[in-house]
Amino acid sequence: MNERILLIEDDVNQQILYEQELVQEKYQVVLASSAQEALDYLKKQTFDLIILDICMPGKDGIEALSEIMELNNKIPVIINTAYGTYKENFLTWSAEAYVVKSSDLTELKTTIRNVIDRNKAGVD
Amino acid sequence: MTEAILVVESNEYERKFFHNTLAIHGFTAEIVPSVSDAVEQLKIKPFDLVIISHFVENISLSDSILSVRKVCDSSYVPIMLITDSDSDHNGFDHNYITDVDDYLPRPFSVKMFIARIRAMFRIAHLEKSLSYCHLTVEEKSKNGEKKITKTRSQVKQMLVINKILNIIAADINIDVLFGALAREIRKLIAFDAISIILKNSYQDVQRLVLIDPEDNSRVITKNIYLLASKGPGRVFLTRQIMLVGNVRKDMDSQIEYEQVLSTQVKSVVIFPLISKGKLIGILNVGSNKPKSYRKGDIRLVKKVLSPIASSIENASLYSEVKALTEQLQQTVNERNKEIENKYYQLSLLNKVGNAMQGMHELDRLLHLILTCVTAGGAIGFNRAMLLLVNHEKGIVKGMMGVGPATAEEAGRIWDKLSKENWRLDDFLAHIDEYPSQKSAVDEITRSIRLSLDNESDFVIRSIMEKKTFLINDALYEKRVHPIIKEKLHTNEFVIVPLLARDKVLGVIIADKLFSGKSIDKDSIQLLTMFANQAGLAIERADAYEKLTVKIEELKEAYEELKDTQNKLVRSERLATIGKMAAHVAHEIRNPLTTIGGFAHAMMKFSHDMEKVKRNSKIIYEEVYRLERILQNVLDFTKPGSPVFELGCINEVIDEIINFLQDDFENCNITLRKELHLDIPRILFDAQQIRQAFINLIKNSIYSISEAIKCGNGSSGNHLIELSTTTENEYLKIKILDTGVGMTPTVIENLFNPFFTTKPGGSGLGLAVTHKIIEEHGGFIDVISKVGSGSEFIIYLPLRTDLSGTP
Repeated sequence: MNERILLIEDDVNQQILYEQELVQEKYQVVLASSAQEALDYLKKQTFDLIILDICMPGKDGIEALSEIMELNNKIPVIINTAYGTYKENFLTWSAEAYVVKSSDLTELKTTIRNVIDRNKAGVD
Repeated sequence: MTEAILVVESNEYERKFFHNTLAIHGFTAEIVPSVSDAVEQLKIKPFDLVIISHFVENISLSDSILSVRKVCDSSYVPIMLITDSDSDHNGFDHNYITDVDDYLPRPFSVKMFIARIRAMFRIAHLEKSLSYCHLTVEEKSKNGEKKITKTRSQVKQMLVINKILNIIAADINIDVLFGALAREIRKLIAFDAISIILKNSYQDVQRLVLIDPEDNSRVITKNIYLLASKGPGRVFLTRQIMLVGNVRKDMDSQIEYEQVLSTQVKSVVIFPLISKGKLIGILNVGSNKPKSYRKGDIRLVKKVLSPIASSIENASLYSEVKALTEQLQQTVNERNKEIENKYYQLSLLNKVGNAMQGMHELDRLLHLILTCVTAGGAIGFNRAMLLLVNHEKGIVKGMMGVGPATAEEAGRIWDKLSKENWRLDDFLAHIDEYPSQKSAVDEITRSIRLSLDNESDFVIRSIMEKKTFLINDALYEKRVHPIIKEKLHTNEFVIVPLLARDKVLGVIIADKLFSGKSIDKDSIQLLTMFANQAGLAIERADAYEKLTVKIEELKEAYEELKDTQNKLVRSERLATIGKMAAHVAHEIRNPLTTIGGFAHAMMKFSHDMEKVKRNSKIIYEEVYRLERILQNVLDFTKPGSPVFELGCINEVIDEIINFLQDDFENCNITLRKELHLDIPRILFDAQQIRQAFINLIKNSIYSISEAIKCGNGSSGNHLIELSTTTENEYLKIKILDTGVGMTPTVIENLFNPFFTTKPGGSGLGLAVTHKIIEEHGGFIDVISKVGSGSEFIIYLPLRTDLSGTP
């Protein structure tokens, strides 16, 4: 069964890119263009992983992350941002992994696999 | 006077001899022949001497002497015996010698005989005078004894008086005194019963003090009614000592005597007790034998009556003073206690007041107030409810209730309180540890809602009239709220208004249902005083709360201001090249990621022409975006100093409208143009101003397109208004749209570089606009509301002279 990933990304072209690449990896991808949209999804559905951008109009990724944590779900979050320095902000530490955006998606894909497997092992 | 001599001689010759001889010597003589004749003679007349001579009779000498002596028994008569000389040796009984006074043997001469007689008479005479002397001495000594007895009794009296005087000096009460007096009186007069009756000047009843005849150590005191006409009562009138030999003979008064002494009493003496001329009472002494008392006994007692009276008066005065003192002391004590009680309550009120004034949290304060009303040591109600007025809603609302809901609960609470022995002080000290328990009474209270229009209700009346009401028969009273009646089952309670100066904040309702006591004036007064304090405290707490909110708001405003300031400073700093570079790098990474990602995908799927076509289109878009970012960055970082020229803003706006014509049409936006033709020409850089306005108007168009996307009204209803006017020193250009509007946060950050709400926006457009307008010496006002649109008003100074430009 395909693992479900919630992708939170405001840039439409990046949404297309990630969706295309992740579907190829046999993941089921749900797209959210804003933090609020993502939180609405999370209240109704469950996912195996969340990929979260930080620089977004409206609620940014850091705010979204703490609200996701407050929902108290066990879904692991990978922060995927163009900006490396957010890694130093302790508010991002509750995420499982932090991947800097790159045109080469290999690192992101490896991290996604590892995080999902680790989380499954931990849950089981 | 001559001495008479009796001679017994049997011989006649001898009889003549004695007769003649004695007569010659001047003695009266009687000569008898026998002893029996002599006895006869002695019986007839007295003789001074008896001479027994010769025996002729056949009776013995000793018998003769004895019979003579017998006759002369009453008065001693000496006897002389004349004996024969021969008989001296044969037959003379020497025993007679002690019975006779002298003897003379024969033969004797007359001379000798007479001398012997004379000697006899001398001795008798001496003896007689001696005996007389003796008698006198004896008599005298007898008189002396009498005197001593008399003196003794006087001494005794003196001692008694002294004792009595001593008793007076000691301040003892009448019981003890009378016991002591009775002991002293007994030394003067014997009695079986003794009592005094004291006159009472205020009442017709008299006071009897009686030594218990059965047990002398016990004193009985009682009130009696004494008739002035009978028995002891008479002495009150006569003021004379009364002696009654036998009370049984005075049938009418017998019971009176028995009443004041004992039922055994037969003879009685009653003495009036007079002190300083005033009759204070009577002293009754009684004996169980009739006629026991003589005048002598009475005289003895009479002498000590005065000190007895004084001592008794003294004692009764003492008793009276003592009783008065005690009464006074008691009154003082009661007063003191009352004052102490009041003081305690007032000091409690003060303490509670202080505690209340220091408490600013309304809930805790209300709880404290109600606890005080119900705490045992203070105001002493069982339950209390607090209702506050809400003038806005026009109701009175139950806020809090304290106390037991049932008698069982009341018992439990009292038990706990009595075990812990808590008083209000302790409550105050532990008020924080003593949590307000959610009780049934509390719940009931909170459910109470009364309309202020219900003017007949006692609670409302208490509020309207600022008056305290004591409801006695609540269960049958229509003007009492049903919750109070039915749920609290209280029949008697008090309603006290909570006053803060002239304002009524609410009421306290309190009852004493479980202690069963009725509500007295004192506790109402105390509660009223307390309510006044509580009212002030509540008002204060309320004011404090409001103030706290205000302070909080101010604090927030201040924080916001500080934040804005920080943001301003930050945005200033952002303008520095370093930050700029970092930001630009970040901004560029997104499109680069996309371009790289799709290029990568195109390499993998080069055979799929559809994908290649789509990917290359995306790559093209992203490259265009990169160019735009670059252009904006260039605009922002080196916009160049404006080149000012005099011109007309209206013309610039017309140009822009033309330029954006397609965009308006695409979104079906109505354009309203209100350009005042008479606005002055001013100095500005046309190129920069055009850029600034385009950025603003493009934002408006985007905002409207967003609104259409969200379905806020059908297209066609949207408009953009452009207007120019002058205001004071400025030219005012207004750009209004009916787009989505902005939140305060967005407005705050609107002109910060890189702040954007547009996906893929650079966040530099409005930053550039802002910079340009500032460089023209103008400023921008923004009015916006989410859902109804935004309004940007640009103020440009009305300058025509280059010297004033920045």
